[in-house]
Amino acid sequence: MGMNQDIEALNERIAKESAFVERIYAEVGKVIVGQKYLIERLLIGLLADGHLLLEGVPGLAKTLAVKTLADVVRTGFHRLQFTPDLLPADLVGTMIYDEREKTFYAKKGPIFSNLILADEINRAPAKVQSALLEAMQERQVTLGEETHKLDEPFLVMATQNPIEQEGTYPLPEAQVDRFMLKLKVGYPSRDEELQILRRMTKGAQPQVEPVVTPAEILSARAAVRDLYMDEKIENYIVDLVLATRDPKRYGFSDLEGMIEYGASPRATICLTLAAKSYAFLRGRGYVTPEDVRSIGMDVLRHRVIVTYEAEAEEKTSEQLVQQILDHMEVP
Amino acid sequence: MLTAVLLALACLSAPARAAQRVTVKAALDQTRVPLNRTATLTVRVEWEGASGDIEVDEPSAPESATLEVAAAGSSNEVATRGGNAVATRLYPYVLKPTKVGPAEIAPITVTYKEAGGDREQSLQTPKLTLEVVRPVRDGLAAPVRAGLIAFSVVLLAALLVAAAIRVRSASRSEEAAAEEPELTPSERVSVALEEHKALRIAGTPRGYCEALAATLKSYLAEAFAFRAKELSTARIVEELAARGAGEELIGRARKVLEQCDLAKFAGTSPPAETLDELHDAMKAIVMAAVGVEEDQAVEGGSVPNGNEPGH
Repeated sequence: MGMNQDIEALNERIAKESAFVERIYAEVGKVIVGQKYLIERLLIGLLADGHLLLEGVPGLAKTLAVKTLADVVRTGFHRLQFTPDLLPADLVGTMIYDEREKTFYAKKGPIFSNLILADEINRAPAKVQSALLEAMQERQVTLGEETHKLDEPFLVMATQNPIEQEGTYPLPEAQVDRFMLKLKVGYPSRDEELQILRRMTKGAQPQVEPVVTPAEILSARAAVRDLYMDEKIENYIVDLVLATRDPKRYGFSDLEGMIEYGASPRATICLTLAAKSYAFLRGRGYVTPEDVRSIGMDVLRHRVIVTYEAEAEEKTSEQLVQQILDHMEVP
Repeated sequence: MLTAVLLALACLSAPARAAQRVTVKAALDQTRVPLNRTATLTVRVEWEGASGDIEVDEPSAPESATLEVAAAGSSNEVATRGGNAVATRLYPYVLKPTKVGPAEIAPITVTYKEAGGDREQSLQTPKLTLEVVRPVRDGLAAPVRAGLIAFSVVLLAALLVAAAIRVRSASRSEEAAAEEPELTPSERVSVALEEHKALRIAGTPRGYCEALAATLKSYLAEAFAFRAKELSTARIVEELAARGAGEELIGRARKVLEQCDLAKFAGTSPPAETLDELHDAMKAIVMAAVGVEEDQAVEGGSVPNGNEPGH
């Protein structure tokens, strides 16, 4: 009975804490047509304190989505276009010499904001990518001898263009692992395309109002971590991750020899937090297997490295992850 | 004097010899087992000498996080090897897996002593691993089924001959006794529901809900031919709709699964009234299926879709 009361209290708390979610959807919906998948994952990134890597062709409202989210959350926003001639200092900032004071002072770069859109991250050389990824991981930047903490909430959404790979610098696997989610965004449906046409080509552009404060987001983060996760769900998550490392042991004999490297323990942490955030967005105080399955692909697709044999058979990491998600017994 | 010293040495070394000659082994009858099947673990304690030379304490049941002991027993064997008697005590355990994946069985300690002695000694079996794989579809294996068909044909021929010699009635009774009727999916659910009552009596509503959900998933998997055990509630409902299940059946299945999910994943203990409702919903699903199965038995139809009259 005590357990029932605990979960009821938790459900009430989560329902209260997550009340802003519907307001965000409504406000963002004034500007963005469709893209619920993208908006939802952005919120998961905010709630779970993770970063997003997004793959999609140009023109899918990626920038608009992040900008609109920054507006409704009343936070700072910066868009960084990555190019081959970009330098780390262009990103994190540098020390400037003050002639009058005869001292150096820190000139903070555009990374000192809350929501960062790192557009076409694979067009900048490795040293710039490293500077961004280090800041993402450490949540701080060192300029000269001084370390500056980045503001909270801090979320980076990096994009990669799946076309035009000429002259790009693909992110190393170890660095890709630092993104909590990798999203694949597709084209809108016909109805959505029609709505986009009507909304964006007539009259004034719709404006959004801030409906949530950064403090509310930080409070929601604490609530997400307090969500109840049953042992069965924990085991389910661990089984999913371990199945990517040793598929044969979990009955996926046909995947043997297909996976070079499976998902890391960081994937386990990310999948847990992302599933909790997914449940939070639905106003629930506990996690179900459906939450894990729904977000599983976005957490695992970039963390499973296929072998040469799999590539020869034209198997992608997504296909392998999907097979595991589809056939792993649900608790 | 020398004889006394030798006798004393022999007495002192007796327990050591016993320890050397007793061996303990553990073996599984298979290395891989489907989730819906069982495997047998046999602990074998063997020593040279008569059966009564060594007293063996019954070992504690095998411990594993994902295996349940469904049955246990013990037996004795005596054989002669190289002119010497060898006694064996066997402890078989029928293990029922509860989860797909590698199942580890912790070492089992066997304690024994020489008959009449008081110095207990113990030996341990090594840790064993059993690979639990996805469940296989219930039913008889193809070769067995083929054998039964052949058997049935022969039996039918025999019946015809028997009729010719006017012993048909006697042959019929023999046939009925020889062939056990195979349960239909709904009958299996009914049996399972009766078994689950024990969990309610034991006061474990969460366990009851888990068992109920597992039974419903097994039934849906069989009746609608999809992998219900590998799907979440939302996706099971989608699958049922895609396969043309009736709205009432979908509604009942959703009610049972969602309520069981609440108990399983939110850690709640549903009150008795809720459990009654779930039981009734399950019964209603089964009752709706019974008529369809009877029709199928007559017409050789396919799966119940819940759209038939009465659904």
